[in-house]
Amino acid sequence: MQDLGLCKVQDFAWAEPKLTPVQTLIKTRAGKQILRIMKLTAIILLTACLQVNAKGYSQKITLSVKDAPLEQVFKSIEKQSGFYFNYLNELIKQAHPVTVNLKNASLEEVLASCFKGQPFTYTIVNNDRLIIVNEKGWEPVAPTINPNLTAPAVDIKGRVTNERGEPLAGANITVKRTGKGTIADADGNFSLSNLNNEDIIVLSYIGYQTQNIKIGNTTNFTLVMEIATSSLDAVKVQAYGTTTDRLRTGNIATVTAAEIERQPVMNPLQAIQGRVPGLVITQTNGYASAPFKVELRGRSVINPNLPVQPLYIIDGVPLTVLSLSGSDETYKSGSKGYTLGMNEPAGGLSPLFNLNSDDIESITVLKDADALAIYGSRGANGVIIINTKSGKAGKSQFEANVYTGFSYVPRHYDMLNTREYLQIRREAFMNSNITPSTGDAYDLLVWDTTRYTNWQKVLWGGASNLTTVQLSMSGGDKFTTFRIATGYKGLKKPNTTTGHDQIGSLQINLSHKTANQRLGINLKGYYSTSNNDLISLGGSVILPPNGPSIYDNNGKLNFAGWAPDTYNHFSFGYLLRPYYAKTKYLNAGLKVKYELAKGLSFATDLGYSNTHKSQKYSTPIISQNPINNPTGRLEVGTYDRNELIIEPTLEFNSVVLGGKLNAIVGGTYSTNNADGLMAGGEGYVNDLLLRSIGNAPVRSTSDKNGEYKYVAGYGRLSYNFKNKYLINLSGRRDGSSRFGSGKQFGNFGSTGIAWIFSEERFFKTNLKFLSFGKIRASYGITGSDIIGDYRFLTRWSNSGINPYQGQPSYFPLQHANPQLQWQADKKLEAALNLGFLSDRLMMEVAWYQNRIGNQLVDYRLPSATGFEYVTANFPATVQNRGVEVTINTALVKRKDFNWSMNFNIGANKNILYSFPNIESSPYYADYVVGKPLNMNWVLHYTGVDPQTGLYTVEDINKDGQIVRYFVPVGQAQNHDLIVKNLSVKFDGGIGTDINVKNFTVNIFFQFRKKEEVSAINTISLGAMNNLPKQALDRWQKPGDKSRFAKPELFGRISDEYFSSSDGIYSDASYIRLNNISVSYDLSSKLLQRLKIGGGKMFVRGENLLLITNYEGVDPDVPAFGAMPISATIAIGFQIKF
Amino acid sequence: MKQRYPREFATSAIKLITFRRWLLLFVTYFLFSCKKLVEIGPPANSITTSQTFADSANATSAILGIYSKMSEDPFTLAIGNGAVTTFTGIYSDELVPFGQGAGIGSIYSCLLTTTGTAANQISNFIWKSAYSYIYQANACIDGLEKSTGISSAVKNHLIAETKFLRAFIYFNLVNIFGDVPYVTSINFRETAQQPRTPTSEIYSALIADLESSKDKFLFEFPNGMRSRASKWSTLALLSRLYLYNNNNWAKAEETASAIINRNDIFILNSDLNKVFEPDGKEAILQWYKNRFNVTAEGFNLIPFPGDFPPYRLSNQLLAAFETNDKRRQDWVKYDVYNGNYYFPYKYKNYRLNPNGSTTENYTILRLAEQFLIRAEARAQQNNLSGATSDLNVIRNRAGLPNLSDTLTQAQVLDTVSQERRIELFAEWGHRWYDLKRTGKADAVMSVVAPLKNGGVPWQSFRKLWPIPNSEIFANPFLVQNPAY
Repeated sequence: MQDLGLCKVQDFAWAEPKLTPVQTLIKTRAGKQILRIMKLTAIILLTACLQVNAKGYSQKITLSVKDAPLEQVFKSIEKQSGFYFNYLNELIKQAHPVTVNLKNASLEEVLASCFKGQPFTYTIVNNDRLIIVNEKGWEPVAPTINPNLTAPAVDIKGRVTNERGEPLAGANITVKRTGKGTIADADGNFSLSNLNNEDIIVLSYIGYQTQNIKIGNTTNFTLVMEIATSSLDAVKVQAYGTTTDRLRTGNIATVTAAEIERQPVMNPLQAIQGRVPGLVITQTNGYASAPFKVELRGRSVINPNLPVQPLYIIDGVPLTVLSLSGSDETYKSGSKGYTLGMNEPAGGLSPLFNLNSDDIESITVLKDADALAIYGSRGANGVIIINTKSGKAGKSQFEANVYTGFSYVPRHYDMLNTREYLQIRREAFMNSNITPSTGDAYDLLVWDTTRYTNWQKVLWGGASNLTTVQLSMSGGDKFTTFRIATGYKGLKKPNTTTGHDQIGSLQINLSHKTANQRLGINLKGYYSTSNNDLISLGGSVILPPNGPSIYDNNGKLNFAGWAPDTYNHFSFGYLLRPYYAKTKYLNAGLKVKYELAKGLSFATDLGYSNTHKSQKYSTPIISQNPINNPTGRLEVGTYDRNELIIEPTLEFNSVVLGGKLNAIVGGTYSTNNADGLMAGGEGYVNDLLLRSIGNAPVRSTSDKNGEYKYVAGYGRLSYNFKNKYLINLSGRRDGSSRFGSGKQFGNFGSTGIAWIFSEERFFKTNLKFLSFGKIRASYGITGSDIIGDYRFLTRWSNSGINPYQGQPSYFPLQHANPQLQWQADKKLEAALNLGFLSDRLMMEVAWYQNRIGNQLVDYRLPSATGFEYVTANFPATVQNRGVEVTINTALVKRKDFNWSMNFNIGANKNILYSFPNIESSPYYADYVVGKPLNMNWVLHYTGVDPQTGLYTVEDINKDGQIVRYFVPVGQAQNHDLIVKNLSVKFDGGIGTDINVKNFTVNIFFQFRKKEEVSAINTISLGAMNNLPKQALDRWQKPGDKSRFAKPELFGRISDEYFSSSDGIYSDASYIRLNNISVSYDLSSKLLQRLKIGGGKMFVRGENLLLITNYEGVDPDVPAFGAMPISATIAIGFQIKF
Repeated sequence: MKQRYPREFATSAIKLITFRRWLLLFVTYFLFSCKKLVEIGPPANSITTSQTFADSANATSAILGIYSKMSEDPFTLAIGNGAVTTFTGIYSDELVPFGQGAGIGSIYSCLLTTTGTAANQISNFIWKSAYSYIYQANACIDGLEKSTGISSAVKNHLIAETKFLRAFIYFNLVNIFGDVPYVTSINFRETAQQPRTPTSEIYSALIADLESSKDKFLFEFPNGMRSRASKWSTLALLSRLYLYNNNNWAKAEETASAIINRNDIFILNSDLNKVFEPDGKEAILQWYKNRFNVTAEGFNLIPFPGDFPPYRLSNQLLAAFETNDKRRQDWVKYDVYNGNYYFPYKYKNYRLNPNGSTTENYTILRLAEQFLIRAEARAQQNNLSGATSDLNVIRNRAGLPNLSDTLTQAQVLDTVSQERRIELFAEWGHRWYDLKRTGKADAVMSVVAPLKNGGVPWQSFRKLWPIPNSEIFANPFLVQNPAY
């Protein structure tokens, strides 16, 4: 950086062609003398610069030059002051050489000296550290329109930059009168001819405020664009590029760093819960590293065995998780991320757990065909683009973000006390006519019946420590920007046993443009390593309340104390069975972009990502009941995933017929593989040997792997006419290795159109309160290949099968289906965007309809065919139709008081739209045309019979018997079942941000409406497990009207009827206070005294309140006794300098 | 910082031409290289079907897979390793579940009384395993027929071996469920909606298969061991099929004789305790030892000392033994659990013994049955002396005297039935199949069923077991057995 000054001098010296007056001067003898002096001066200046830089920028400038070119002087001033000059090259060529000699002068003094006698004026923009140089007499002009112009033709030139002086390549400059225009080249320069003095040029660039400039007598323009203040014009990430809310034709929702940062979460997915309408995110269990189920706009697949996931793209690199866990993952469970299907307490690992949320700049969700069709098949279930933060030109900034807090289990079940529990147990024995014996009633006869333990308190009671430290350094100049960040997050599990989740991350983002601005290169590197140290607790919190202590007097597991119970209840052996996982995640995206010609650029994105997870689960002897003479077991496994993507693109920008044209053609080549290796050791006789598989007397190994390749070519054409009419067309051809020969390729495409009607004169004059109005619509077809690998091929394997007579033996793995082809996903959307009162109130209402046909399913077959499933295209269509509403409003907007609110809701209706011949298909018992896919056939519960004390269900068909089995159409229709809809009805969030002087309060609630299995209703009374207080409402004697049936020891047929009836479901809607954050912006005086640039202190809370009628502890974790999602409170500070 | 584009307006046309040139390049690139880009190598942990049937070694491994699966670990009862013996045993009058409401016993009462899930479990054990082996057999036959790398003689031998395995499974399916889909294709499009095939058609197909393949075997016993299908196992099953199907007595006698006459290969073992020894002269087909080196029968039918025994021999069966029958001494043992109880002791090993020596193999077909088949066939053809002499061979080995030579045909047939009951008890469902085949099932079950099932009377439709519900769901053309 420092030697740029020197380089410039050399450049200047050897530049032969196109001599300017100043350069001509140097060609003379005197000029050479000057040059020598200048070089010396430059060296001196450089030294000064280094010193100055070491202290940071200062307003005091030392400048000593003689007859130096003005441009050179600017450089020195830029270096010393941190201010940038903004000027037009052509203009500065008219400068006179400068001679000044100033020591420790102010910027104003220096500028005054330099500009003395020059044909320019300058303006200092302090906020932006910018000095704008203009021709004398230049003024921006308010737009007027005069259609009857006959003035003489003029040619103009200019340069467009942003506030930091960086050229805005690709900025549009159009002539209002003719509609013709041009775009700025890589260095921001443009030229237009055949204009007249009355013409107005319109300057526009994504993310900047559009400007109208009257030409007047100026021919050389230095145009500085200001960042758009309206959120409508803020830059938004879109597929392969950027857009704005104003101009987008598709449905794109963005969650920004500001919203993500203030949530003390371990997984970024948790931070966007409820913030994007239509995106339903559910944490699958209470472990912080737990997988999340993510579903955009409803269930799209019939196949109950396929976990459906959106496509994650992190810094341009897709995150594809090839499932290695086999049948472990289902639609219901969602993807379990990095898992080998071995004993993992958190049930897998969310692939985003390794991404530190503090490094995220934005999370963008692409929802409709127009927004995501360009991702083709990979995007069929939505695309989530995650971009990490990058540096900005300007003063280098160091930022530290530190917080600490605690996490706890926020809600406990209200359980029976010992007396109540024992009473129900005794009733159960009595009702079953069985005399309790020590063999089956040791809780009544052997254990201390006066003892009471609240197992929830023991296992969940503790508060756990949460620590986050994030340090970053960022900055750069107009050529190079950088950000280097490192972070640590650690969370000790919210229970009293051991367990730790930790992430350490390192991020390096570098961006460079060559001096001529034509070649740009951007590297985003992310590396993190995480540790999970977990223990599985199972359902231990529902143990009998009079169970003995966990440990005996010697600190050993109290197996003897729990006798004669063996393994069934005493599950605390798990406490001594540690699970460790270490995951390393590398994500690197490199983008090289070169401008081939004005408006035409070629770019290549190279991405690589790798995840390596190694895990170990041991079952030591001490964790097992000694009476069984146990031996130790050890399981280890590694998961390794590699993904490489190459995406060349060619982009073309032009002004055609008065509108802006953007065209992209590109290709994608991506290769993925995942390998899993597992080894198990058994028969350890000594726990000390448990650390290595090599020590195991009996060993077994298995491996798993997946490979996937994907290739595509695509094109997109966007046309924007006068910021009023927008059209977007895209098409692509996709190829996937998941299909057999001849079926690998599919063609897909989409179109999006928008009309910004508020730009029309009629609306402008008649509906003044309407500041923005847009109607948009899109339609497109994407494909989908979400099936496993090699499903089209018949295969044989010898893994897991014994040799016969010592010779290898094989077995077939699956039915071959060479006819497999792309699933077709037709997406239709229409939306209305409105802005009122100068965009103080913004709203978007979107209606969509997705029809997913040619379903790729694990087609259920009778096992007489050899297998119970084959992967096949199914002639059925699933429909998701819904409405999404987003409202943002700035209620108060004053200097010291800002108050805004945001609201979003997404309601989806999922149905099986069509299914030809469903009655002769294998699915006739599972689905009904016109009903949602997430349905169950259930009996209708009619309460507990007051006479018998048993559950009753309705005999719907009045045939005198209860039939729970569904019988095919055509055969006797004799079941008693009704349909229960279990889809999420709607989901959304509401939040408010209040800012009074230095205080800012952000509150965000998430809400969801759905039905779920009730945690309470699934209990069975009489078994040796504690029960919730609700169980007291049980049948005791004839005539009792009760909620629960009479306790008995064995399951009765009526219990089975109840558990397959609608009686076990309950409303599981909730409103969750997802996030609350209070921060105080430290006063600038204090900071100045501490020489700190900025800072704040904050208190943040996560999941602090749950409003629900649901009787369990968490409607998202409905299993009785399962640990709910934890709550977090953290306090911390952020400083910048 | 120079002006890059001296011309103020580059025309759109020029730009478009440049753009199109690039576009053309892109399109060409993708058209020619796409196919290759999405080709992935063969899967690492499995081999493709064409590789499997490229040579005889791999093709043999594909067939050995059926044996391996059928003789797999003894823990999960499936069609090849114990399900038939155990379930038909407790269902008929051979075995009795020990105690009420426990283990197999409750499954038993479910089979007999309800159409509930437990009955489906039992059916599932048998049905699903059977059809997965049938698929594999069909895939082997299909692969071999299409193979170009294997000589036709070897091909025919391997196909004949596979057809035996398939026939053996179908034989059991038909006797348990009645009509079943006779699947010989691996094309799931054809088989997914296949209805049930009449039993008689299945028998005809099986007989035709075995008749055509019995002479295709290249050697007596592959590897010299009796643990793979051979001409002899083919004949042994064939004689049984003739006996069961349409009373084809002459054919049954002829086929059984073809085996019995080869006394250079097959001899009844005089020591009853060694009937099941590996590669013994009485064996026609045995499963080779599995990795636990224990037979499913031994593991499941013999109680572990001190453990709660799963089931015992029924009083009816115990009473059916003649006095001094050595089979009562050598093949029945007792233990004490709330009193004496008896259990089958044909196989002696019941412990997992992976590294120990092998003293017995799981026997599928043995010579004694062929004598009994021939005796029955001869008796039916009124060759009473021939029948009696065959029966005497079996009786003499068990230490029983010769039969009187004045027995009537009916008496001889009764004796055949009695000898089959005793000789073949707790082996591959013989008793249950015989009861149904000879029309005695209702009479016997009317007495036995209520005893086991709390007095609930026997219903005749229960002679056929229910087809698993999940199968009915998956194939709407599959009709459940009547009354289930």
